[in-house]
Amino acid sequence: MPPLLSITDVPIAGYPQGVSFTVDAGSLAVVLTYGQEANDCIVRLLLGLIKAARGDVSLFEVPLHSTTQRQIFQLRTRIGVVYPNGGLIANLTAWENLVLPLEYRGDLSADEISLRAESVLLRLGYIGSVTAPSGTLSMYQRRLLGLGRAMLGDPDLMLLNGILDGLGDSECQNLLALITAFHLEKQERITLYCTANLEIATTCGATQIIRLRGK
Amino acid sequence: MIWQAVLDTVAVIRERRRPVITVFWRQLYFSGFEALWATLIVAVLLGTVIVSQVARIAGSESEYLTGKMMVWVVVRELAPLITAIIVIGRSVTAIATELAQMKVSGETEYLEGLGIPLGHYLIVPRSAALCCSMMLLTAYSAAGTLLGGGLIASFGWGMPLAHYSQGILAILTFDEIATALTKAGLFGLVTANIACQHGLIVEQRVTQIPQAATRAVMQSLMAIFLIDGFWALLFGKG
Repeated sequence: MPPLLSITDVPIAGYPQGVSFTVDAGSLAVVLTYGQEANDCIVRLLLGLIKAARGDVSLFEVPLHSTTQRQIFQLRTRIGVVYPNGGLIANLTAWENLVLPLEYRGDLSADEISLRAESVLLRLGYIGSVTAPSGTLSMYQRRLLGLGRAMLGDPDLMLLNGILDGLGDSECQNLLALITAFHLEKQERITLYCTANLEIATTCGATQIIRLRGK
Repeated sequence: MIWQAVLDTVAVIRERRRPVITVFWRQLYFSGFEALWATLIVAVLLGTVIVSQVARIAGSESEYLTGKMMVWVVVRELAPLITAIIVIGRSVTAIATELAQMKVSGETEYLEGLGIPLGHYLIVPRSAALCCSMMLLTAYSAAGTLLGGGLIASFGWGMPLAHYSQGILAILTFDEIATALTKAGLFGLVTANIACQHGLIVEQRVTQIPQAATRAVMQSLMAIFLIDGFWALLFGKG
């Protein structure tokens, strides 16, 4: 089976000579980088937000350099991303942030989306007002909501950008448990942590650890 | 860019995405509804000034000239222009600042990462809302100016309201109203796109946010006066 995600000889922040790695379907993988800048760079490459200066990036067997903008937006609907700050939109409430991608896609009725979002909030153990502006939430709440938003889309690829960095032990364990359980729900799903923290790489139950070399 | 805006608009209308419609209503509320009182007050005061000046020059028995002046100067020219200036002061600055803030904080990338094109979610609903707001406010502004003018003509200069109304109705045609509203709609579209463009081209520096707002305001003002000038040259002979 060909890898569902591959980066070949692509220079990223801190690794000018280029990095290469592949991740197979169903893997729970960790990319161990030197820092947040490199994490951001990998996430942007995989989302097609930046083009590789050289080399190839391929996602779901689709080479990103030869895709149209429309195809890239289609691919992104199969990806769930959680950023270090949650990646929420400041002028929307917690609830609006949670349901935004599903509402935008328009495949489901408003009632169906509400039901799913409420069940995800329960599953996350989210405590806090859903009508609060996202800017007033704690970092942990923002990451939880970012994770919930990604989970609602039932993605084939979960990109977790520094999601566990800087959290307390119990919060970290809670997120790890949620992510691992969610990963196992879909056989082909790839979960990819991008982190500079070796401890997280060893405790998250990864089936594959990729150490980027070159810094 | 214009072609892209057209494509985005067609896509948004065809797909009727719920979050896009929500953004449209919020912008319409902010730009159209919340600006209503400011626009009306300015309009009424403008009407009193214009009628006072016309009455001073032509005398209080100049209903026909007053009507002509009010329709040609106010309905056709000043109502869309004054409304546009108020909307630029309130909404163009707000849009440019908001989008620049989103760009600097990385939120535009988050949206794109969620599979939401910026054109669809940020630009089209704001442009459509500003277009509608400008048309609605222009209609209110014209009505407010005619009302303010009527009051000052009647109480200040002793011109009977019936005569004042007849003077206006003799000149006011559907074409005049359509011209004013079309121009207002065009002002709204152009200024919204200028605001969005300046908001979204900032780099990752916070100091660029106020600069984006300032540039958006100045370019919007230039744009509406240019459009008004060309409009007068092209369609002002009739």
